[in-house]
Amino acid sequence: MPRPLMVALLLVIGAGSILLALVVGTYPVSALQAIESIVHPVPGVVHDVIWQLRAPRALAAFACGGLLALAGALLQVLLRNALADPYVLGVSSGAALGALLAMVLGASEAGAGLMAVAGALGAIIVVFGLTFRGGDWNVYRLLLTGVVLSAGLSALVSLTLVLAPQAQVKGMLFWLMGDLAYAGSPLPAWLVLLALTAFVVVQALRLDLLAAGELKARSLGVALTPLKLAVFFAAALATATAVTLGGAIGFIGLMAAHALRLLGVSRHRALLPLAVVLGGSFLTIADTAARTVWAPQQIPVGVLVALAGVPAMLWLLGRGR
Amino acid sequence: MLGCCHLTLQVPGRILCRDLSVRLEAGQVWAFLGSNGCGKTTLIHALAGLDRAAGAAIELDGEMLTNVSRAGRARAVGVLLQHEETDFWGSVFEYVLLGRYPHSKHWRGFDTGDEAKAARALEAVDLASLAGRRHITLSGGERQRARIAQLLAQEPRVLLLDEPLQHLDLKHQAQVLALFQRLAREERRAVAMVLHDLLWPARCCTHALLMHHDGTVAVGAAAEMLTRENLERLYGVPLAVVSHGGVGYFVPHV
Repeated sequence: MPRPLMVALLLVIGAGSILLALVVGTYPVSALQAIESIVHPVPGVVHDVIWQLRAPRALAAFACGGLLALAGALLQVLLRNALADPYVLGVSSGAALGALLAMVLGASEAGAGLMAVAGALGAIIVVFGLTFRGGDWNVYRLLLTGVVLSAGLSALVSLTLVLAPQAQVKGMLFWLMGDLAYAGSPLPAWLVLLALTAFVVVQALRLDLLAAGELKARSLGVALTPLKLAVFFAAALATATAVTLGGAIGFIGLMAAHALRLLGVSRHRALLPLAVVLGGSFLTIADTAARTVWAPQQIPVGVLVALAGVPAMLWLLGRGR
Repeated sequence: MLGCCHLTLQVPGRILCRDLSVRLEAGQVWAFLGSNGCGKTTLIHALAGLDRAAGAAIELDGEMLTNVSRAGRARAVGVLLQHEETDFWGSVFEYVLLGRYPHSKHWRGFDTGDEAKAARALEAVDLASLAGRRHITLSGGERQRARIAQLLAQEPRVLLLDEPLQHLDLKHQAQVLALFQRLAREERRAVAMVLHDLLWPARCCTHALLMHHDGTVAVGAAAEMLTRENLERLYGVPLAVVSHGGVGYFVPHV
């Protein structure tokens, strides 16, 4: 697909996904009404439905998807493994354990959110502390440490689930499968998303080189350790923010950048922003479906993401040589 | 241009070279010869500034290489690595373009001048027709030529080549060697290459560096270094000399 066409298409899909999320739902709102309400906010039911209910959730979904896609793409570069996803470093398991413990202890939603952040940061610090030794930072040790820590934390999450009171288990499962129904204000996540996207676009050329190999990057004059540290913490921050917003939504981080690569985008200057748009709009559409398809019953969006994403990805993989 | 002064390289349990002093000057073409595992690659990496332990002993234009900025070093010294750690996900052209990194303003990306230089580098190794192909679809020899093109696009004054002829067919071996010779002669660059095929050093190189397994290194003009006695001692195989057109070629007795 020609590059400008793909960029235009993705931008249209991105804007369209948010508009769709504003329009679709139990209370009927037409696209015209939605746009009018954005341009000329007039108090009323439509205004409330859009501004209080749907827009925050759509924006949260977009930011969450974008952050996961960005984190996945960055870790794929850092670990030089096209199969890396935001959860290989144990960040989501740490966040899940924090959130579940908070729920068991009867904390409020805000409390659970804070504990999720604490868990994610804790996992990041442990993985970093165990793997970074002076100037030498071995990405294989990083990957293995993340996987091992992740396994341990998952065991603790399962233990918490088993020991928790019956009544709380469903809420916990929703959190673990990824759900945006209780997402807080999307504003902080958007600030993180925009800042990180700007940062990685500036670093894009260096990321191209890092993807080509560490020795090559150094021989061409890249300051490797600062770059790897920046990529690690950018990915960790993106994952922690996303997980706090929507729980452990899988697959997007693995898929977004990979799908774009299969479509022929490889330079990170284009790949990373496009992955953000693709991941964001994909999750927004999936979340809209999750809250409407089976209404009033809600489905955890993480389940829908996997159900819709896996066949799409398999098709893309089969299409390539 | 690039040299080292009293350089000692070691790996755990073994000294690869002891007290080596050598200077690669403009217009020279060096052959680095030695048996497998004697430390040729380690020496190339040390000279390229990729080995932190060796850093202080390497000098670029009379200045310690560790004091040269990273971009400055990459503009002056280019290295052709023997191994690439990973697959490159983009096209051949994008791969070659990466060589322009030390010359680019990294936040802006590459400009049309960089792209023109990458295209010229691809032509020089006969890969222009494959520019749009995905890099992972290339054959071994084509990949090696793409690597060489990336180094040409980098335009370093000193070229350190670790086995530049690996995977290349005879035509392209001759072609890239002629190219490196021309870079040394006409553009006054310094070239050093690790070679295994004794067909080439006597014809292409002005100087030779012989690395022995005991850590001693002999350096000097090619005509003096490339003798049957020296090479038999270096490789531990008996050699015969075949003369053709005034040049002696070494052939192993088997």
